[in-house]
Amino acid sequence: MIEQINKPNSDKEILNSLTPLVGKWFKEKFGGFTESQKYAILPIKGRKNILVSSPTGSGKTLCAFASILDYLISLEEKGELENKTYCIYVSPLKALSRDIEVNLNTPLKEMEKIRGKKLGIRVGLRTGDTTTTERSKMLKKVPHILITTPETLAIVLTTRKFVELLKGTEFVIVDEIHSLANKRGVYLSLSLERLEEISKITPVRIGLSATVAPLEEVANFLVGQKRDCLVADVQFIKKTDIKVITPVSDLIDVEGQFLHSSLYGLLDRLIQEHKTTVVFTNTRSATERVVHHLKERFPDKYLENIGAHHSSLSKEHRFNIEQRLREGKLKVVVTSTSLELGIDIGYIDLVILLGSPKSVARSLQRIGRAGHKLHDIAKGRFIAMDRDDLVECCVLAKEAMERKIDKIQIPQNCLDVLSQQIYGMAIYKIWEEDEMFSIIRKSYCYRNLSREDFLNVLSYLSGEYELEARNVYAKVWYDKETRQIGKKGKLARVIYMTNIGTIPEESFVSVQIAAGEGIGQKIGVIDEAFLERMKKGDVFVLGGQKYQYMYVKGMNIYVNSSVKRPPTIPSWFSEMLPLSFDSANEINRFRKLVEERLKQKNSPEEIKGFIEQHLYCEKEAGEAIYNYFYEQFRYAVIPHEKKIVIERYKGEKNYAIFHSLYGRRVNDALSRAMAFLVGRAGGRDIEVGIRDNGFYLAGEKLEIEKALKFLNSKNVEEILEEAINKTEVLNRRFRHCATRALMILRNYKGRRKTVGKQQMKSHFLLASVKRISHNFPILKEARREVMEDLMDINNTRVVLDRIKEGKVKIEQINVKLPSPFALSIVLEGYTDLLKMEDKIEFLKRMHKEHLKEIEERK
Amino acid sequence: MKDNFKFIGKTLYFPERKVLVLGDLHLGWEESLNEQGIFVPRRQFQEIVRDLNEVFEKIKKEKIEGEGRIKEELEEKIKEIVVLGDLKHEFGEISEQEWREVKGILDIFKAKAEKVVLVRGNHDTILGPIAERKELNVVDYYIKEEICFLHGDKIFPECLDKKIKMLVMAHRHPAVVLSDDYKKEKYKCFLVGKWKSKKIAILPSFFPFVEGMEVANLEDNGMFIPEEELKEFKAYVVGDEVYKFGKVGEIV
Repeated sequence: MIEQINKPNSDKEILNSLTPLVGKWFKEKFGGFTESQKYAILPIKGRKNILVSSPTGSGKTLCAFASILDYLISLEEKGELENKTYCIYVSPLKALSRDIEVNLNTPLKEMEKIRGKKLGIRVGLRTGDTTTTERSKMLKKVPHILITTPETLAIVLTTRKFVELLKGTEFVIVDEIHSLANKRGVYLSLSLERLEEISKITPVRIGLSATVAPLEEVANFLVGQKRDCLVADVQFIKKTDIKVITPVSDLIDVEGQFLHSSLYGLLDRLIQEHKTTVVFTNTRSATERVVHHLKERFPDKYLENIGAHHSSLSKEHRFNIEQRLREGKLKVVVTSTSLELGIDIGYIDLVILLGSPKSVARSLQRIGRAGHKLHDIAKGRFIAMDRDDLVECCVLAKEAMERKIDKIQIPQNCLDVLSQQIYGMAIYKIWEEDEMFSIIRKSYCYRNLSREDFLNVLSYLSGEYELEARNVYAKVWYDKETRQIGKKGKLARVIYMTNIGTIPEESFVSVQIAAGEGIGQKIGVIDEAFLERMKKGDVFVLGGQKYQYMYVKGMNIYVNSSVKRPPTIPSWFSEMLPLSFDSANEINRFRKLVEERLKQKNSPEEIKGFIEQHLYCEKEAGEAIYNYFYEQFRYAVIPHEKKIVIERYKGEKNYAIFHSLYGRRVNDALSRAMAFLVGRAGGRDIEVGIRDNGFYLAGEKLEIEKALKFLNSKNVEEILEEAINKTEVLNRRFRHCATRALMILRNYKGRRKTVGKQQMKSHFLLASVKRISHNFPILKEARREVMEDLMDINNTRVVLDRIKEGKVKIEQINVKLPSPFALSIVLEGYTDLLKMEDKIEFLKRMHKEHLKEIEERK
Repeated sequence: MKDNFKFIGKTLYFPERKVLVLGDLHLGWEESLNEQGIFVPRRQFQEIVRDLNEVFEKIKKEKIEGEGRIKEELEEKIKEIVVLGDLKHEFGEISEQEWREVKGILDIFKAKAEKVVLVRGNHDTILGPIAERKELNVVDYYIKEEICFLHGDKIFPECLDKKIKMLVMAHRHPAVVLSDDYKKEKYKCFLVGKWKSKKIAILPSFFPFVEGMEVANLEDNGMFIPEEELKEFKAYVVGDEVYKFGKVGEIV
């Protein structure tokens, strides 16, 4: 049962339950308890599983530790403190672990000061960087509180000596659990079940989360199947001051150059008006660009006091920036997603969101970085750069103000992660099949795992599937008679320890302009694997611009920026964040409300008034949005929550633009399924462009009616399975899955493989796996990942059902030129081509064309 | 013309001489990947055997269609099979399974042809013992009248002799990429051209799964014929049949 706590405890109640020392420390240091502490301290003392959801700076970390420290101190006072680990604290960030160690050690020191002697409570940090000596020290002087990462926890759980010390663990804290709605989280959920299995006492699980929804699902994710959990929802207490602004009043009749300089003018003004500002962009390259331009335009204002912080930068660089932020030495930091998590960054009085953050939860998370203490007001400013962005930002700001948070999705039944964990389990001991299966199914992420999938993973791991003849590389043995499972190979532990983890390894190559406009400029980074697939002359898109690949030198790729040809390589590696389905629906609803008013012939003033009131936006924004909608209404039709508009027009090819505002993940699925069906009905190669607010198909022959009728929520999965079968995206995801499932070992016999090498080899591996079985577990997982995690097939089904039930109507219109709403879909969508034509067919066609050309030359 | 040849799948066939040429099988590639920690399923051997049988079938058909002979004569053996090197992939020690596979392939060759010639490739350093067991010799090059068969990584003075009119080799794993602005596909191909006034034929790799290497501006292509000159060669692209394209350097 998941149960919400409705009433906080009073200071008095809490103080009464704490040891005098801890109580005194709290009173002296803070005077009282924060809201989240009032909700959580006593339930934890009462050994209840609990999920605490509250904004950064609300004393969340301490609310978990308070009860535990109190308990340890009371044991110590009685002289009952044992040499064992009482509490495991798991954090998704290594840097964060360091942070917490400081935050935990300081209170301890201060309490020792009050007490006047050492308390003898040991805090130990164990991550991938922990040395062997430190590790063996830990075996003797066991840390009472062990701070670790999901990956290291898994390693610890296979180490017999260490497991002995963990058997008496009484508390597990999972911090930043909202950032674990991914394979890392899935992985951790299994580790927690493994910990539970070895424990003599069932550890209390404590989850700490920032803004997240639905809390019930996250709580289930924390505690696993059929276990109780309390939920303390204190996330709505921090006060916010949120506004959407634009650099210029008119976003359409504006020269790019002017918009650009106005933006930096605006940024500079905002930064100068505040003490410390954090600017969030959505991509790493944008982060670099903003820093570069601020420095260039205002050389006297920004030099030492500005910094960039994103995940492609070195660890040292990031630590340095964080440190200087805390010390108040920086005026402004520009970041992408890396500062979203709760690293302590000191006092920030303004957060700027450059471009839509694409989800309410992310918006609040970012804005929440301002005003670190709870009573401060978190001040956030969205800056919108175009009219679609403006509408999106306004709707997100509205939802953020109303605290309507979009739902996260936690991956289910990931077979690659499962492979890795089964391997780890087998290294620890010999298992009965049923025992192993039932432990796995206790994890929320595997509650629906089928016996068949489980057995298929075992078959893979034990080297069936013609994987080999000599059985050298099988990772486990599985005896079908006794139904027992165990590890295989002397190197098992080493292989496991050096290859586990769920984050796909990426490496980046920086892109520099060597010809054309902006020569010498560095424009960003691309994935090394992406580079590998390019050949000279290929055109690709980066940061919305087209570039032609010229040559590569070391870790730099040199490009030409003046390109006329269409992209020849789809940018799968686009870092673009997808708009959440919930927020997309909210925009659709807003569209409908405006359309109704336009249809009722309300006066412009009335409608503008409505927009301002509905979105809580400024007059200028209201005006811009009104004009945008009015143009669309006059020229074409406004698509909205009850209507998908399909625009047909003829350019070089036939275009069909689908105004399906459901976010990129749904559109990815919809567009591919449509393109596949249209292609199968005779269109040769169909070009596809995908955006959050719609997609387009283009081709010589484009008959969409039949495809529309045919596609439904029941057949979409099957269609997509075929449609993605030969794509790069499946290839790439397969590499990740194969690496996670340890089919490709990054580290083997002391050699480390580069990402490029892994990619090349995985290509071969995929070709070969496809010939074995369509349902080979790792191939199946790659398909699941593409369809459920990258795309959003579940919400795609929701949309298809709405269409079928008539809740959403489809209206086709013919236009001479794309409508205002359609422009961004056609212009900026990244394109990909669905390969319908068979390889041999293609060869024959090219051969004919070749012969024709030769004829003509004669 | 006795040096008439036909493209049959990934092989070259001289009908008058009844000589079948193929190269770069790279048996044991999967094993070498396993050594590097890549858990590849073993499919290569089966695929190679299947592709070989297809070639033999096609040669039979050629005879029927080309010469209209009666059935018994069809059973007549191919006279010679010349393997242009790199039968085996790895340099290192040889495993039980690889022994079996290499022996298996050699047995097939011996059953189909009166004579099997093994030319040494750069990967074939340890092929000797197995070949010996099958009473076969491994040679650096093989001269048959005016044709010289060699691997292609290095040249021998004898191959440059005046009476040699044609060099047949492998090693380069040539492939072409065909593209029409939107789409790109890679195919194995033969390269046919002239070098030092000798006719040259370079075979694609017989190895399945991987197409090969494009002819591009490689500084070092591992061959004694410079990449620049290869661009003048004509490409014969392997699909369901073999398609003649023009100069490989001009294919876009």
